[in-house]
Amino acid sequence: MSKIAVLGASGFVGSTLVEELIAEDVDVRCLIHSSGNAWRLARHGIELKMVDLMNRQSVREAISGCTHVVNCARGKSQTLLKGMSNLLYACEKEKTQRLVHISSVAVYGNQSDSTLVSEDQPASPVKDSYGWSKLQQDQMIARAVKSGLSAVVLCPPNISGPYSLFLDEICKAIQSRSFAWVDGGRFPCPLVDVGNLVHAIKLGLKAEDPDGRRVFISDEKSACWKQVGESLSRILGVESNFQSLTIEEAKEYTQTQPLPAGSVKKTVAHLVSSNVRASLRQDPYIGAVEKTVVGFAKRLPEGIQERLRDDVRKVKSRRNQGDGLALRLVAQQLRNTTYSADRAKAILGYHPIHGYEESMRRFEHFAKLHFGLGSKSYAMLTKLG
Amino acid sequence: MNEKFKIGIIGCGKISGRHVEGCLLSPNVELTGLVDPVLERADALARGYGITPRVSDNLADLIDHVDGVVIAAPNNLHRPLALQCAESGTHVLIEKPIAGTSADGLAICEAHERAGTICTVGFVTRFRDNNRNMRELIQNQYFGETIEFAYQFGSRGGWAPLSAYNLDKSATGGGVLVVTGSHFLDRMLHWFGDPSEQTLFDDSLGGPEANALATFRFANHGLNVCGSARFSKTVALPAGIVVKTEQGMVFLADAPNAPIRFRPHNESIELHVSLETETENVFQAQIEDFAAACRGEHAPAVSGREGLRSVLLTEKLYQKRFPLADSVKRASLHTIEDGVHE
Repeated sequence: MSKIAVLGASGFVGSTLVEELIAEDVDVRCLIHSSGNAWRLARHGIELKMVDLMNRQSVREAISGCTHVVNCARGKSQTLLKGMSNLLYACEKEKTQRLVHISSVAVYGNQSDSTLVSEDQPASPVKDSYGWSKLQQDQMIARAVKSGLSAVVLCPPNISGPYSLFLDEICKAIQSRSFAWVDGGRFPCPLVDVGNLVHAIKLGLKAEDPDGRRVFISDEKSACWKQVGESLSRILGVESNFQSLTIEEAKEYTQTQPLPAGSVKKTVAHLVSSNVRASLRQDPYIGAVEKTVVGFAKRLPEGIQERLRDDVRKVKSRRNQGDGLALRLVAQQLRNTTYSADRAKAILGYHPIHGYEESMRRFEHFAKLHFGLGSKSYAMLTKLG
Repeated sequence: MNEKFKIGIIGCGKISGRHVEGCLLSPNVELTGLVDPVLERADALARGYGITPRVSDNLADLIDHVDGVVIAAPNNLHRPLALQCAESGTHVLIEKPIAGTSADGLAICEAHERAGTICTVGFVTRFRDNNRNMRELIQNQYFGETIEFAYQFGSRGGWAPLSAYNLDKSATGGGVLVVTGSHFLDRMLHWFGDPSEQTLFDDSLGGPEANALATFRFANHGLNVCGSARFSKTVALPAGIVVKTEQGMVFLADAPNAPIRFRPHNESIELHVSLETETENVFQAQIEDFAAACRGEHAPAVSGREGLRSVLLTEKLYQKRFPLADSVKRASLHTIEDGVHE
């Protein structure tokens, strides 16, 4: 009878995995670092066990009695490295039958113009980066495999689907008008739906004779950034007429510190008091609309006019939130990279269960549930700023 | 009046640090004791602020040395602790909510009423000047009659008490609606009164809900207002309220010194109401309000009975709850009764 320990159970991938496992009545032990992030799991009324990855004994006790271990834990570099060392020690002592570890394509660093990266491509992350720490983890596992550990290392690109932080990041960039395409959005945007990744984890738990080497897990067909931008714009109900940078512009943009755009004032703060109006007139834009503003203010009841005179302390002009582009998303487009899942198909029997359109529908449904997307209150609250 | 009001803090978890700061900032109170069943936590809290109050794992050791206490323990412990204080004639400021259940909350109120001691509830956002002014502006219809409002507050996780009691439904009395939502429910009741109808959509599958959407209708005292409040512990939602009035939209972000913004209908301008005063430290304001109430200078900002209202509303919401997925279904069918959804 197998029992699966999930480290990092409260994270995005861990929670999705646990929810599927408990729905399938699988015996699972949820291991978490802190109660603060564990609400998604706690709502099921299941037992959550705290583990300190930095403490060897804590890790060993946490996985004791479990036949299989899935490591979805994240953290700072020190936690990743010391935590992996402790986990491998615990797996050896507890005679773990299978370790499935979630790596990342970040181990390959910022590859560019590698239209099809295979697992054998040299990994070259910047030292001490997140990708570097993940690479160290992979190498530690490879050494443990030589000593007899049975392990599967899954290597996903950006993860999409319900609860996707990556799609949420793009949505926020779209809403704040900081999202831009590079070269019309023609570059690939490699994704894996979290449901596909969880499917791969479950295959990894029962794969025969895995070799412990990295395996890419991606969706069947890579979407391009234009497609992703348009899909999310449709979901958000906004136009997808994004700014497009040339490759040269994008390279320059990512290599220099982005400067905020000039004084674009979409909204105007206003006081009724005459001395502040005088200072406002010095701003040409405010000066132009002052007449309208004062006209409106004069229509307010006398009480509120007095109140505003008495209470208002200062005038603020608000900078357009769209100033500056989402740097990380621009840099990602320049990678121009896709990741083949051929090896996963051969070794794990992996075939993605969610296609691109379905994955986006799953995200849309999630957004309706959790953000209230499409509701009247959502429309009101988007103006909150 | 020259003597400082002696305060003890019961429960030395994460929120207690804010209360210690409030005490240290105030010239009118003196922090004389810390109590926690895990004595190391009380010691660590004292060390962290370089203070030397009386430290104990037992309330009885402290009770004769204080004029009033802050109860910052898990919600299900509020009742026994508050009752012990009432028996000894000690005033209490109870971290929100007053209790996990209305029965416990009522027992606390009655015990302190019998003892003639002050019982106040730590709804600290009431002390923000922008919230106070927003209430006044809304209630006085400065921007015209209120038609509807929408509120949200969401974070990916966050607040992790040292005891991890936040995920224990029996200790908190609920999920995100209690842990996150009680502040807004209290303010909403303070602004609009008790709703005539309320409905809850949440994602609980046996444990404490992580996401909740509450809808309300206020059809009392001449009001005809509907509203919604969304709370999440799984997604980040910019916190704040948007109120639609006859004259326009009023915006207030849920932050200590955020301005009240008003955008008139059919106008492309926006008025910002910023105030002369800025809230310095709401925990200081709260502890001074408590001390002044105990000295008989004025009633506390949030009495026990006032604090009890949000617990009663929470219980009503839990009694009429639907799966969160139903909120989307109803929205898509254009049939939601409160009109919050399109």
